[in-house]
Amino acid sequence: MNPAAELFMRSVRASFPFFDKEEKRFYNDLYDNVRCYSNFHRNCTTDDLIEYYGEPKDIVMEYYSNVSTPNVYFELVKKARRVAVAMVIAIIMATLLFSMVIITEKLKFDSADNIIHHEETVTAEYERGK
Amino acid sequence: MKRDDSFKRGKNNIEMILLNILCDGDCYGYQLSQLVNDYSGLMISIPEGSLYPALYRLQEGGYITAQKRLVGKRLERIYYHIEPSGREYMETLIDDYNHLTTAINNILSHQSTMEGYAE
Repeated sequence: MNPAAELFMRSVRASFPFFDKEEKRFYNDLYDNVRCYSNFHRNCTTDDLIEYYGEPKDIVMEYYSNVSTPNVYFELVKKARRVAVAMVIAIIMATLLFSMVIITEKLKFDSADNIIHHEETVTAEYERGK
Repeated sequence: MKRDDSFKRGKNNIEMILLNILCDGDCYGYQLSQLVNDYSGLMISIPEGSLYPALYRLQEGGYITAQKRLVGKRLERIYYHIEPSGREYMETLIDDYNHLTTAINNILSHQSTMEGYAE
């Protein structure tokens, strides 16, 4: 397949909100279709492909308008939930990491205060002897 | 009287067209869209976003089957083959389509029959 067709297919791939088994099946079939087109039109450009197939996002929208809508809705809800859970986990991890850094620094600071570097005691006997 | 919802079934028209083309022989996806273009004199084109979901629906219904065939040395293509149940289903779709076009023609050719409904 020529580079323009590869680029076009990458744009189509990026236009899917999620990429499950059904989307992969459609993508593979579309890939074969575009490969056939590019075999017949060896020097086709991305503009030629857009003129023939439409914008990548329009292809994806057309696909979803022809498959069962509840499935798309539930997949989007699932994706939103996955993103929310990932964000909560990321926030918890970041908080833990930040707390660990602060505690470590505090311990370092406290232990540095407790070390007796040098102590000099001038006793009375020493003073008298002098 | 039960209302016929065939007007909503635009997807069935695509399935009918695809089954009709497959009656002439097995085809692959790109070939199907090209034949639709050619046979309709470039008046009808089925976008790929509608073509493949229609083929998937027909496959799930058992009306067509898909076979991978080797083209050349390495290239594989998926050919679609119509099954006997697909031919029967196509006849049903053609009947539905004819009823629908008759109904639309009746609407278009009505001769000022509003008098009976006017207040």
